[in-house]
Amino acid sequence: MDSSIQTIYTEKIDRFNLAFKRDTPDRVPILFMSEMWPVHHCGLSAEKVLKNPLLFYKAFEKTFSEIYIDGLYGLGNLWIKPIFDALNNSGSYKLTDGIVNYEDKISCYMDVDDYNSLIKNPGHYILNEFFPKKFKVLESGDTISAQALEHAYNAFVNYRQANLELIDKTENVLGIPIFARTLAFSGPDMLLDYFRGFEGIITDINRIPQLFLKASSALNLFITNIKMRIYNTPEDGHFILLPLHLGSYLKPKDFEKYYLPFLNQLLEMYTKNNYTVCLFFENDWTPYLEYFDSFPDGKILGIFEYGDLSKIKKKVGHKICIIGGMPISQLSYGTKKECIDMAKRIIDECAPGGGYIFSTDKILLSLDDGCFENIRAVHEFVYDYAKY
Amino acid sequence: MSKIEEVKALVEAGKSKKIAAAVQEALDAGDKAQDILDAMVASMSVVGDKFSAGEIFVPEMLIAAKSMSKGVEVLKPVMAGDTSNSLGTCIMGTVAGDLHDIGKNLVVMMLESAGFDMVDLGVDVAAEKFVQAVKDNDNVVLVACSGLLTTTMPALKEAVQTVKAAFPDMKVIVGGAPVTPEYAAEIGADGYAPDAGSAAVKAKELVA
Repeated sequence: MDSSIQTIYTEKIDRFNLAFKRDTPDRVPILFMSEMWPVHHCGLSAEKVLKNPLLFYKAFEKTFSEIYIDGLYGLGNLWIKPIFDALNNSGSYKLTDGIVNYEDKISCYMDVDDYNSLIKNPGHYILNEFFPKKFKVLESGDTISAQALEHAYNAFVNYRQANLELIDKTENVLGIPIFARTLAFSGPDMLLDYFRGFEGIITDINRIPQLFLKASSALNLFITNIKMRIYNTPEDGHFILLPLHLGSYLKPKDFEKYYLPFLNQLLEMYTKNNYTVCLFFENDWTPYLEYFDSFPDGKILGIFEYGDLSKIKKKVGHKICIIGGMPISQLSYGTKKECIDMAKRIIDECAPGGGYIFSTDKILLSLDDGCFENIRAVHEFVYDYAKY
Repeated sequence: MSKIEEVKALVEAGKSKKIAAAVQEALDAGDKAQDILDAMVASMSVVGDKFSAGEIFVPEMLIAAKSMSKGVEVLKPVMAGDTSNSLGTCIMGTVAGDLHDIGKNLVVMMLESAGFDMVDLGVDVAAEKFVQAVKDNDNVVLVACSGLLTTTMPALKEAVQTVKAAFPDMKVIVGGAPVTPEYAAEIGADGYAPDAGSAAVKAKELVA
């Protein structure tokens, strides 16, 4: 890394890391959360950049020479399509503008009878029972299955390689940190998203709660063990991104019993090992804020999609660093003045005392999610105004 | 507690294992099938209101809707051919490019519970497919389109405008996380609902 870039990079990552510790940096860091927004801003298509990671980098280079940012939250699920293609799984996912989305009803292939097998040995169950159900090409276990698995593995290696190249260039040439080093899940969320689906999991919680709890526990340990091996440099100033799904669908009493223990267990395991954990609170978490007091001490961050951020900061700012605030609807439909007024209000309410990172309330997926002029004006304003 | 009151309470509490027997007992006790159905619809309306008010959560709403569905199964043979209780047919789907179906499935259940005959087109539904479904089904009074990704908002707009171009008087309701009342109005939808509970209320309003 060039020494001038090194200085910029260090300044930015230090700024974030003070906020991560709920401390006060020189000014409020600006985190950019996007997937294809920079790509479309530069007149490129998702299809093109997914074929050529260098083009994606070029989009970052141009976009962030025009809009000031301190860091990027992560990259999203880029270059993942070839893995699914290699396994002939064409029914349950779709790539829309470069973004992978899944149909809940037909994406989950685990039967209720499989619980004991999953609990006994999650890795063995996933490889030998679940994958052959989900990907028919693996069912026979013959040469064709082996070839498909090999192709999928190679696609996965390429996917990792492309991600690493983009991260490497963005950090080392532009001096912009990309924070999410890996994506982790809690056991209950894995059961929901990958194995049982929404209706399945709701039924299981009601009818076979003990199996649900045991499976959640087994998956919690299984995935954490893998994630700590994939990302084994927790002191590097980046974070593990942990999107939270099931929790906000449960009534608080069920949340306390079926979700919170697993979230707390994860946070304890990661923070004990000096990891920074960024929780992505999908949906509205207002009814569950009182439970945050049970979180362990450590570098825990929270991105909030919904809710009054100033109230959230007052209520849980002593436990976690707060990220977000700027409504993307305002960036899309508001005037420049309205956007700046909103940004000022957010900074005035959330920045005092530190432990706050300015960002949008949701990820900018498509170009329509935020008007370029508004985003640029807001970031310029925050850069100048939000000094401690 | 009368048998019909018992049915009502079981739906609201989501007691799907007990509901079929309770509906049968109500029929055996001489309650009219229509009255039992009306009671269950009223129960689901309470459930929807409680959900919208944040008093209950998605699982409780889902279980209540499933219970009602089991109760309706018992009534179906008795009410065969009687369409007087139906609010009409509603065509529903998640728009093109979008596979998110949890919210859509909940809305299907809630609208069914409210008295609509539902035709669920599934996910990734092209605009023309909504139009074709209106043509293919009887007594269609409402089209409901859902979308979760901001990237599929143009597809939502296309779906609404294609349906409206083919059937100018057809009522169209939209929803999904990125949809706002303003956006719904901008793309020409007749109604918007932020959640499954209020979708049932809004849908009934639109076809009243």
